[in-house]
Amino acid sequence: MSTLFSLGLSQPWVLVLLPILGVALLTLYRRRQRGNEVPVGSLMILSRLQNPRRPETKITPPPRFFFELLLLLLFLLGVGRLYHSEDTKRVAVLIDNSLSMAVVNHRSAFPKSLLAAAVDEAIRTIRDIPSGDRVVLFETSPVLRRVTDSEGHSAVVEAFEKVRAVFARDQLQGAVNDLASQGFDRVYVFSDKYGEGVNPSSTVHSQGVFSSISAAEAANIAIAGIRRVSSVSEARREAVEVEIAAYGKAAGSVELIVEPIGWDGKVNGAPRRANVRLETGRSVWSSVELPVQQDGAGWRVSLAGIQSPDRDWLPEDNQGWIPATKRAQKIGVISPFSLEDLGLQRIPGFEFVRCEKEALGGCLAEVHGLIIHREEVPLPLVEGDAAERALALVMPPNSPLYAPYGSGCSEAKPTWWSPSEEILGYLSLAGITFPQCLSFATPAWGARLIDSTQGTVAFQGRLGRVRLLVTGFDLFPFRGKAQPFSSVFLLNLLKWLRNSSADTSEGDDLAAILAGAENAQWLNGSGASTASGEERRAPAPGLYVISAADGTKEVRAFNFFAQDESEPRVRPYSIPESKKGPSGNQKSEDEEGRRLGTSLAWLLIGLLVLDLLVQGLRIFVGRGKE
Amino acid sequence: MAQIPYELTPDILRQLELYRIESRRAVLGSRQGVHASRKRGHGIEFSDYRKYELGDDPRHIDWGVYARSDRLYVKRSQEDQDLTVLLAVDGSASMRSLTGDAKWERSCDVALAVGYVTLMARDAVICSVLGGAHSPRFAGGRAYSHLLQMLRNATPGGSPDLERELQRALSRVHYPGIALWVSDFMMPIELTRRMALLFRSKNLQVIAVQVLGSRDIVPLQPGDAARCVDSETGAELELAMDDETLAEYRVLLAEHNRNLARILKENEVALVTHSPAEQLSQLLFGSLGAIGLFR
Repeated sequence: MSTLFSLGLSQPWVLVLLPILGVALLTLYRRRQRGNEVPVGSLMILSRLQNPRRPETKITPPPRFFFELLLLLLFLLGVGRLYHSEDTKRVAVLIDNSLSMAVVNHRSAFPKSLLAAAVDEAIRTIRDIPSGDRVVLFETSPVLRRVTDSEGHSAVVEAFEKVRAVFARDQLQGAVNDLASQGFDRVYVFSDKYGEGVNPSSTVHSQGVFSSISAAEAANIAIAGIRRVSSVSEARREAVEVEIAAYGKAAGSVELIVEPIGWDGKVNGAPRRANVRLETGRSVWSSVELPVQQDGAGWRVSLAGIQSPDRDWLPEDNQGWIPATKRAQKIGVISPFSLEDLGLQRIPGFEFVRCEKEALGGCLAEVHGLIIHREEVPLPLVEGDAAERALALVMPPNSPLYAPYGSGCSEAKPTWWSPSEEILGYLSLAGITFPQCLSFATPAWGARLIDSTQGTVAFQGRLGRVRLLVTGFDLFPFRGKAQPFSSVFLLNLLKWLRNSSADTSEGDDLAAILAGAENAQWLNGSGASTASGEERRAPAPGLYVISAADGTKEVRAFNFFAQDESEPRVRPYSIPESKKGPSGNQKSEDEEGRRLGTSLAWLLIGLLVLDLLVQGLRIFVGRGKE
Repeated sequence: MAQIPYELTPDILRQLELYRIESRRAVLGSRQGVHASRKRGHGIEFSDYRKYELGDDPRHIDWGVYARSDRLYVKRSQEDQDLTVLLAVDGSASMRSLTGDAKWERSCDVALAVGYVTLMARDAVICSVLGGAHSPRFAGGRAYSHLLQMLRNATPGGSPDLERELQRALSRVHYPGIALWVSDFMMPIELTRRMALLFRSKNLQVIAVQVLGSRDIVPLQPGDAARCVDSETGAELELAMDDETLAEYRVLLAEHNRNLARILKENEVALVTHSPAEQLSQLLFGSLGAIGLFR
């Protein structure tokens, strides 16, 4: 009996056909029993009968009727993909709602966003999930979040209306890892990313929606960075340097506009403009003088003159914000040496502070960039998202964390280069011979960085809003105070670190600040409004006037510059291996459905053959009697 | 399905060779024959006298009359011409043999028998399956094989416009003669009347043979229940037959046949009713002889 209760249909709607087809079968039998069809020459005389007696309407279904009804039921169960499961499955539907999912393909006949396409695909998938399974909807951004409280199919379908693309990265790799480790029997991922490394036993099934768009034809223009710089002109006026990127096939000229924003959130002065010529696949830095304003909240930077939406598939990333008040730019340093020994204090424009590995959390909240020098990399950084670590350069020597491995390090060559990485603009490792070659066991993500899968040397990346640099400086031996390590290489590293601290915040950081704020007002260029709970959770670009509990106010700008999100291209991610084996109740209902469907098909064929034999025997016996 | 045997055997054909078609009216033909023609000419049988006119053949002057009356009279005789027989066989679906009763085959046999007698007497036959093929004018004994082939190949079916089909058949008849009309006559009396009028318009002596199949006489046996389907229209009628219903049906059929006979009589059509259950020879040498078709 328990087996009976554990049966289910992948497509239960086919049961609706059972009464319809059953009635049709009964009608056929009734029609058959109403009397045989007898052709007569003409009904002319018969139709004149005064009171012709009709045949009896009461019928008695023969055993064959019930047999055929059984065949019909088996057929419908087969069509409905009957499956057997020991218990109900927990299914997670993960939908990517990062900014890149707001991309709209303007070249299609019916332009719709990637998110809309992903939702359509997800709804189709949910309809195929057995009704007995518990389905939960998750979104990726700004952090992995469960969208539905209940675990019903309809609740999930309705909850898709709440999913919006937000100004945040997808954190897809981490989200997939999280869900895979949360004990879900199956995880469906709908993203513009492409899942690779599919393991046959994996519970994660990814569905890329980027395939509906040809990445080669996509085009987007975005603001990729903002720097507020002091002008060297006589007027001592400040300027803003804006990086404008042309992704895909986008090219041509755009107009850069910088407008002063008042405390009411509206433009309160004359804007400054500049024309910028863009080339395909390149980014351009353009400088504009900041418009003067005596008392204002900040400035808005935006792009105009993009006449065709076909040039700009993601207009949401065409804005940047600069707060009126400057904030100090702090770089944290974790090193066995003091800041004086390192000579860092001689470098102008930065405020360096020492951080301790043991108290990394508190340090990260204060700094804009972090240098880990000649230290073991804290494990949380190593185990993080591989996609965030764009480049490996230098290793901390003799680190017990990385055990020496093998002797083939002479073959180790950096093979993965991204021209957009700023550090690589100053450095080519292709000509470097490592004087003291060691190779190391590497995390999985390190395999992408070094051709040899035997080692990695260091990394650079992001940790939330903080830019992170891990270096051992073995390429540039340290010789004490007399010769600070202010090589061109280091200065460029610092320049890269500084880019993150243009008085702007990124989503997760500002969300944390907004969450703790007593009151927050969002200035978006057309007015001011109180930041709601949803806006605090996933802020939109703009200026935020944050009031603390002690009454102090400060203006924070929220900019979202992310190449990964703005550049329309297929980005891969790795599907984690399943932690479960392929046996027992981990078998998917598809496999169960196929197995049961095959059994049903054989049973159906057997019964049909039996029916034919019985009929044939009846005909044979009938002839014999004749 | 077993082939239903045709009953027009060589024995019957040999017997039929002794018969001739009897025309009650004077006929008109295209060739010399054995039947009294409406034409006056130079046959054997005396008809009347006429005053001699310039151009008459002097050999036809009755010199005896001239001797008695001193006037020239020309002796005229009945001219004998050949006879054209139209065989009009109903080819609608209702003529199908539904129960193995050979209704269609018997209808063809009747037409073939009359055609055989006609052709053997060097008369002409035109055969039309109403709803099927229409033959040219057959003449001479050798033409029987053509007639046989035509009727054996014919298959009843459909619901033809019998009136139009008859008009088509009659358009081939150019001289008054005899028509054999074979049908089950399970059609509205009004249609029968209009068709009879068409025959009359051609001044034909018409003999109607009503061939009723066993299912025309007893559609269902008492105790049977069935959906009766009209073979021509496809209309259905659910019916559980009992003695009472069968009796009522027979009364209605008899009434229909009475009306049929009346209408045909009014239009000078002789009617013979026949069932395939009866012997073919009984029809040919009995009923058809009795109404004077054969002599």
